[in-house]
Amino acid sequence: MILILAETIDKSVNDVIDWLTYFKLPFLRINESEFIQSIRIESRSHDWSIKLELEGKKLDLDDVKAYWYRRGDLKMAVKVAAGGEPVLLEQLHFHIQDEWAKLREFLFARLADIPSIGNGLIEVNAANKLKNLQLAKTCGLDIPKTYIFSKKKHLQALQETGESYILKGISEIISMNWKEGGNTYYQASSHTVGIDEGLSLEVGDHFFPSCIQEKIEKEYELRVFFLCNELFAMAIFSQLSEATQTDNRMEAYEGQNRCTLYKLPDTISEKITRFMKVLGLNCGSIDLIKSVDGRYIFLEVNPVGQFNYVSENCNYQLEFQVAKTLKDFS
Amino acid sequence: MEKNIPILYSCCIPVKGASRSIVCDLQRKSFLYIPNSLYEILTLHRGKRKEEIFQTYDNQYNDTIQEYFDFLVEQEMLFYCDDSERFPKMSMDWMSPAQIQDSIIDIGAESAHDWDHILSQLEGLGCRHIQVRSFVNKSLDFWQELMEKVSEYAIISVEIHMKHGVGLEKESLNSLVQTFPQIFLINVHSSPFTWFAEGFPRRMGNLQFSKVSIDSETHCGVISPSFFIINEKTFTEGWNHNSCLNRKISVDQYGMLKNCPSMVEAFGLANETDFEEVLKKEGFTKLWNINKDQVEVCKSCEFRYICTDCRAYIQNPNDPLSKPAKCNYNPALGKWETVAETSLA
Repeated sequence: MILILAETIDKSVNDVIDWLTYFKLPFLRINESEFIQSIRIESRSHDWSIKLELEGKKLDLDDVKAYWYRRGDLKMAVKVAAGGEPVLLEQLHFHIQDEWAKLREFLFARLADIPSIGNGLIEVNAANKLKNLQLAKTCGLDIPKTYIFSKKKHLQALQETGESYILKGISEIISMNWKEGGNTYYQASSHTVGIDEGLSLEVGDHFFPSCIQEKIEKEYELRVFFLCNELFAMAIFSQLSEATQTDNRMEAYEGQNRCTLYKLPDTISEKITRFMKVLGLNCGSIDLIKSVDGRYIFLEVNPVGQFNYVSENCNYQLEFQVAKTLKDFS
Repeated sequence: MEKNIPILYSCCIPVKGASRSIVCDLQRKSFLYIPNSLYEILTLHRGKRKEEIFQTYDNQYNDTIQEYFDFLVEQEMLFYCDDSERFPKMSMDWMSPAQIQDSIIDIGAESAHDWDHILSQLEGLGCRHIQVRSFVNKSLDFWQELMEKVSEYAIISVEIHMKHGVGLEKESLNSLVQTFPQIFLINVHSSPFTWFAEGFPRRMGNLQFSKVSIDSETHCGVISPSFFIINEKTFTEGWNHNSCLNRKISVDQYGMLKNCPSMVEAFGLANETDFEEVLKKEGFTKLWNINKDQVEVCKSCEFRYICTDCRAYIQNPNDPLSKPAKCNYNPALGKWETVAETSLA
């Protein structure tokens, strides 16, 4: 049986499952909205027996021949009995949360023993952009000049150099929702701003540590889907549209940026492969920029990035490739 | 290095016709007419530097060629690079996890379909899209019950052609469309009036009334530019397979299992047949691999990978590779002789 941990809505997962069905391979999909209801773990002479029950689903790790960590999580509702001293109950709640966190970590570690695509382990999956930039450099890839500042004068000094810089999030994109007049609004933004625009806002002398990177004049952007040492690359000519010069996700008509199939030079492919190996990932989406001065510059890796866009525009059949990999593992 | 190698984006694919060519834009779902001379430049001389291309034509047509390139750059179909090795062509392979991709189920006066059997067979083969055509008037209750049944199966989209009659009004059908998000289209044929909602056609949930009558399967097989589909999936499928019959299974109004309801050859009663067994019969899939490169006239048509096909109604019934009978396009002249009447708005 093939285990898939996923989010409830994910086209790529549905498409891969269609292929698993075609191969007549049994699978179990657990979405992040589903909670574990009971757990039975027992130590054996060489390993562990691990059995989980979710609503309407049973998972025995002995049956799992291959595993795809796509997104999502293993979740358990942490509840503390009502009544009693609130201050003590709160501390008890924190303690039980800690207990679950360790158990969850153990479950993911055991899952990592199974042949898999992706990796649910926190330290690998919660990709740290700064650590990964450092690692990419160690592997011989170019990275943008990067600073973290918390004082306005440092930002101004950079501005005075006359070179272009952008402000960028250290973690993931920010998503917010709010209610107004009976409607709920939702906005997710990853958009990067220029340093001038940043300074034109009301910035105090001290601010929260913020990431600043040199703005690279790009010829095109590159999206690379990496799967078990194979690289599937696509170039995005986002500079065609003025509005997307800083970040192509700002494009109003998604999909309108010109995309074209791309073959990376072998030297760059080798460096990316080395980077993924050191990071312990056999699957992920890597963003690079090809600069106008001819350099390939690594930006970031997303271990669970969307790939159907790359697959469709380049006819890479990535959904088939993922399903075939799971088939070969099992 | 100077960027002087003109390259089409990999989603822009030139197709040559007898009198003119087109570039199919699979990303933006459109196409552009180009002269055959430009087709030659883009394909025969792909990967060459601009100056080399000029020289190939003895520098006689530099201005014209430059104008062509400027035009394609303006259309965002072409760019210049310094290393064509970085920009390979897209693979034209086609594959699908669905053993059956779509199905037509016809309803006549004598039909006695076992819908549960048919739908579960289709679901088992990965079929996600069905078209139901009724040549006779059926009540609103019938359609309501049919859609309730369909909802129990993994069917993503349903296209319904129903004969106009009492009870099938805009209001009642609109509420049917609202209730069942799988409905892609309800076309009420043989209607005394023509009507379709503003914004037609939308992605899903379309309703229209048409005066055109669909009283048997023979209405099918019309070839028209309004049926062109331009995307990566259909283009590569048409490149390799028949753009109508590939991975299709149908039930005609008499309950017979066929590749398409208009075909003569039948493969048993749908109500009593295991569909997967039928797929194994050689005769059932024999037309699936007839792509347009094999069909007379179509093989010289620039629209051949974005157009539909029909193997049931052909110009010469004795030649299975002859042109669809209901196509009025003449690729040698680049002209539609007359505009075909279709039932779709």
